[in-house]
Amino acid sequence: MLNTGSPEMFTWAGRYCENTGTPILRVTVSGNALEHAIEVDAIIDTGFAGFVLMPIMQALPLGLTLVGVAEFTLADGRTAANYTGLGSVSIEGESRSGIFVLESNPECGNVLLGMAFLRRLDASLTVDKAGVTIASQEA
Amino acid sequence: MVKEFSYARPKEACEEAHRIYDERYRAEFEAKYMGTVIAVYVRTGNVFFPAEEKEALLVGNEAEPGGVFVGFRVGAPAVHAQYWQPGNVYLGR
Repeated sequence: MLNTGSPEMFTWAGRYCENTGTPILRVTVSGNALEHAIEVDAIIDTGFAGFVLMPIMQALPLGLTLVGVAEFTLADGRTAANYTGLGSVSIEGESRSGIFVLESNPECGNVLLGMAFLRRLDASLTVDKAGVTIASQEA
Repeated sequence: MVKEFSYARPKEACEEAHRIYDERYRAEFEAKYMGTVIAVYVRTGNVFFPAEEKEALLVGNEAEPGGVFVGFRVGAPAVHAQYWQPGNVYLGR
């Protein structure tokens, strides 16, 4: 990943998952327990309207502040109620806070970066053969 | 008597939020705020809106610390549609 150095200017390069072909960006997620922040390969999912979704068992050690519950429509049409917490995503010094959806389905092992995250960055998303790039508008 | 809600029973809180929304807000909000994610404070039925860059759930928690809130998207059955399924099967839109 390349960061241009300025806190307002950034260019991050992600890659495609070898198995699934999904776009992946390595980010650090954190909550109140900063010493427990973890680095994860998060899937950029423009079909997910939220900020971040992550498995609740992975999120609990981060010390997220519980802020509510919300219902989510799944791909198969079912609706599920999930807890939500306040957390942060950072990449090379650039950080954004937002609502994390805490997925309780034990089969869900992925961290998703959704459209609310991309909108908060106010950045452009470029997809090409080599990978994906997220860049600030001025970069 | 005010009914108390707990995060230990999230489904019950969501059901109450739906009831409050249908009874008090649906007609007005769906004419004015379609698509906005609001927070329903289920104890009182008050709702909170996003403020500047702060999500409604955060606005609500600051106003009523310790309260039980349900995120709700005006005009939609759920706050977010999630197209990613467990097991890495991407179903698309």
